[in-house]
Amino acid sequence: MAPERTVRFRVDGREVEPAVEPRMLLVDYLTNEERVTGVHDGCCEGVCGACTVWVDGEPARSCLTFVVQLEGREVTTPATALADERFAGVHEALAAEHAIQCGYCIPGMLMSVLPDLEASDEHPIALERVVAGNVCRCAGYASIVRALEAWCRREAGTEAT
Amino acid sequence: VTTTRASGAVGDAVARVEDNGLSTATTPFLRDRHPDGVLWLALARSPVAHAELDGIPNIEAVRAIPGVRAVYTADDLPADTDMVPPLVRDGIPMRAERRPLLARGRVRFHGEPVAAVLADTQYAAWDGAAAVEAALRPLPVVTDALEAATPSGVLLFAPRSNVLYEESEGWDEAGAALEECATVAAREFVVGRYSPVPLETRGAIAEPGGDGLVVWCSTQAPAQLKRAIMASTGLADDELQVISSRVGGGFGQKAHAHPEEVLTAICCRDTGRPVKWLESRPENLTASSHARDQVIRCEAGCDAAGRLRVLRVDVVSDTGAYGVWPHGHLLEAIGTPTAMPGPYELSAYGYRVRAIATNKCPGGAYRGVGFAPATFVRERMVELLANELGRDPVEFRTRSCGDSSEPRSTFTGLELRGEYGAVVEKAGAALAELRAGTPAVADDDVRIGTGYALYVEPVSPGALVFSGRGMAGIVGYDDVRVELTDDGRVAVMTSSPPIGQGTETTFAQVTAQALGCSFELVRVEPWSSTDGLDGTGTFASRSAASVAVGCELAATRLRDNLVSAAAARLGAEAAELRVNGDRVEVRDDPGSGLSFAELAAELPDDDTSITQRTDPGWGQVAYGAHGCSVRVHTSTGRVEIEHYVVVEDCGEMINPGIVRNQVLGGVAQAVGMSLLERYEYDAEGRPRVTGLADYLVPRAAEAPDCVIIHHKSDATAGRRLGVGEGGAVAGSAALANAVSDALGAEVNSMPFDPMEVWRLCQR
Repeated sequence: MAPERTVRFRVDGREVEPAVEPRMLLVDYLTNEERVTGVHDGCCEGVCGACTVWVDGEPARSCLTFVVQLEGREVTTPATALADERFAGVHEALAAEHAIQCGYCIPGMLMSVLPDLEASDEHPIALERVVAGNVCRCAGYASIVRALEAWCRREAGTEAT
Repeated sequence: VTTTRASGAVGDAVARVEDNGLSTATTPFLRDRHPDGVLWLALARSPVAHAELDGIPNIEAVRAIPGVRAVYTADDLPADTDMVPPLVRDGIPMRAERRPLLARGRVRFHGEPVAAVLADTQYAAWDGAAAVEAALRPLPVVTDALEAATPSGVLLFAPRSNVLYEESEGWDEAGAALEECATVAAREFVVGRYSPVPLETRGAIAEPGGDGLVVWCSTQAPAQLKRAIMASTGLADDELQVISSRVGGGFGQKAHAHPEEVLTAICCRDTGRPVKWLESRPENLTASSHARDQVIRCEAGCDAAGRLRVLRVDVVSDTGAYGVWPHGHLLEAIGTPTAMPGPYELSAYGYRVRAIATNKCPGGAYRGVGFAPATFVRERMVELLANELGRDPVEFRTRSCGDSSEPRSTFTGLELRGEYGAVVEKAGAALAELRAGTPAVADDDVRIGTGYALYVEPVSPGALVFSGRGMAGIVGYDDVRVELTDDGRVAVMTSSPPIGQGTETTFAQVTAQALGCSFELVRVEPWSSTDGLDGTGTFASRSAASVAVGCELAATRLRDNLVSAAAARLGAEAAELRVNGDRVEVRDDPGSGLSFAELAAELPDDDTSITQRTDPGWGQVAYGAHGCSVRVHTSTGRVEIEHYVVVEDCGEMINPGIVRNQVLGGVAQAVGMSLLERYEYDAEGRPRVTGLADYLVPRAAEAPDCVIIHHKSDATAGRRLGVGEGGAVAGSAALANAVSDALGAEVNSMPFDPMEVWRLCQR
């Protein structure tokens, strides 16, 4: 076991300074040490996207991120990011489409796609491609895409009347 | 007593009550449960598929690893901890091989646990598991079921044969009937091996508590798991409680009690400390349970009028190294021949089936057990025969299946009632309309094809079905409890945990409607506990067809109790009263009478807490038809889905929005089984698949949006048939028929991924 190292960074706005083994993955640290909900390990090799968080506002796979890489960085977890009022419409749109089934993939999927959707000038955005970075095994993809489309239209003020 | 309809009534596509917590990432799953003083469990697994096991020579070195607290091997587990599926048919025990929790003397598949490590942290537990060096003397390996069936080869359970189960019915009669047929076709089909891949892997946490243990598990069937743990530990009924955590997908894999879950309980009892086990994705893909893996030879015959009349199948079912608990090795082996006749009016049907052990991961349940392979085979044969006779495939099906407004029985005992011809005609018409509006593709590389599949989907089997099959460990009934709480609300607890079908919403809908109260008043517990409730679990699409019935019966009894009590108190006749919102009031006098809270304060607990058991008996049979068109890119083997139509009759819908997404998800999983997911072993029995980068499940770009048409028929009016599996059952047949049509070649094996389709294109 390699010696532990102390890393200073922020989690959801709080300063943290854990001593961790170099191999400590962010997904395990957030769940087991910070005990935040919504950081879901699905594949542990960066394929499924269920563990996605934001590092300095950018989506990052927490199963491919070591805590020791985070010195001075700002980590935002899904439960904090998705509580933001500006995403209230996303939750409503998903519920309106009955798009969520078991829900295990949903936090990571939203963390992956929302920054892209907010930043995109492309209209209409190719949502199948944006969402394709994440796995939903219940596979309500068509409904998830429809819900996100509806939210994008509403945000862009081009909602069909 | 009449009731008022509120929003959230049965039939409303009301938004799911569980959604907000899931999409705001605040709903805890099993991984979010952190008992104080927890020890982490990790398994050391066999790196070879078949070997004599002679202990763990370096066990002391493993124990010395920092953080490691204990290492268990089979030596620490007496033989009575082995998992033995209770298989009994007609009072006679059937063959069931023992599965040790940790390999004892021999390993039979790559990934079989050989040691269990307990440690202070998850990483230390993995360190311990990785350090285990088992003394293994490799044995010859058999990964092919037909080879395993030969008497002279490798035996997993010597001296007994690898053929664990064999049955034949109507073989000669069907053979004679085939000779009378005007047209006969015969083909061999291969249905590949698949992994269910719940996105949340398996896991369990056992904690000291109550009078013994409380086990939290990501399981579809907590009451079954409780029975399995009791059988392996000797714990009494009141010493063990099993609670399903929030389940992040199951698809059948979590319908079984797995050795690791039982081990978690044993380690907790042994150490007196909480024990947590979370499975890794490679473990889930290689060593949990797989499904399908069948070779099916099918003969089919038509009469002179061009109707399908005879089917005969020889099913070889590769069940891997062990059966699962409690279904044993019987799942797909019984399911496939049972499902084979489908909705067709046959004059003869015969089958032979063998379940065969090989050095591969145990075979378990996956959405559409038996029905997915059977529908693939039958509907391919139907399409082949239609082609051979020069008939339209839709018309050939309608001529052959007949509509049954009155029940009729299949050769395998399914009670059919449905408008089978009508659904396939509707699918044909809808697809033709979509195709007509589609511009032609001007690309020599692309070929277009269309295909159909007609299916039946028997759901919610009861005690009779399971006992008839020999699955004596499955009770077949479902318990629910509907309770008026002190604050005047209604709590519902079931023995069937929600695993993604939105039952926290649909059970509330049916409960509210039966009780007459407002939907918002009802809360369905998001987990399922064995505390006072027994049952089967959430599988075989039984939520709507059985558990919801229990909710209604219990709610009706509760309503009667409340109305009687209010009538006595008010000096009124029960018939003058009704339930409205959260009150029992005098009809036409809103606000009169008594509130639920007042009634809760007055009534004894026996009158306000109603436990109801339902047994769905022979179950129900939903049905439907799929039609699709595909673009096959001949230079790459890529199959693009152009249009996809589903026509389903699941009877009365509780929540059409949830039904729609059950269908969508099922179709997408069929796309995975057809076009993407391939599970293979090398000759030494090593899995070629260990992660989701190798095992390709559908993503948004591959999963089709579907035109979904709900067919209403007199045959199923007022009944709820379940809808969880039909999408997955018919999709592979429809897609294979479409690709075959496009290429003028026969797609007779699943998956037909780009490599396979490309090969077909080269012929």
